[in-house]
Amino acid sequence: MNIKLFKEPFGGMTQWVYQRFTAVFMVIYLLIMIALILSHPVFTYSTWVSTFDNPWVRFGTLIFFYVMFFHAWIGMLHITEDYIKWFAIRRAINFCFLVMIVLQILILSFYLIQIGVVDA
Amino acid sequence: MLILNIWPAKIIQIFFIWALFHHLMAGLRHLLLDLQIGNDLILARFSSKTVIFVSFLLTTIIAYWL
Repeated sequence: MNIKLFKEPFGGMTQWVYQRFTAVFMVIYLLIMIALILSHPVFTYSTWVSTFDNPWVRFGTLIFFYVMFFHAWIGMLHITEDYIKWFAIRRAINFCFLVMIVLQILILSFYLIQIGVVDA
Repeated sequence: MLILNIWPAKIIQIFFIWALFHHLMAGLRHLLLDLQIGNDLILARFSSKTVIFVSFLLTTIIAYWL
């Protein structure tokens, strides 16, 4: 592999690697969660309670959402890079998406602390 | 919840479930293409059609269960 490709701080190669690693993490998380939920005989509120009793599930869910927002942000960067030719407008839109995703991460964190999935 | 059981809500749910499955399947296809699996044109076309078919199939299964 050409190390020069990684010289740029957040260049295309770095984005590609992050995109694949987050994707693989999310696939593994979804498979484990589907298996955990289907291992219960009935599907009710108590299924969720006992599934989220496990601290690994809580931690994994928190990381899942952070990773998902990061994955979505890189996807948005790729869309604006493909379709918006004017550099200044592209940077402005990318910045708006960054603000949106940071806000979503903050809202999610506060919400998860409030409902008690994650301990503050 | 009652509002999640009315039919317009179910259509929206099914749409987002389809979007998730399609993105998931297409993403797995891209991971395989990055590993140089199925790069040849005939296989690539077959796998792209398979992605569409499988995501519809999974969405239908979930839609029955909703």
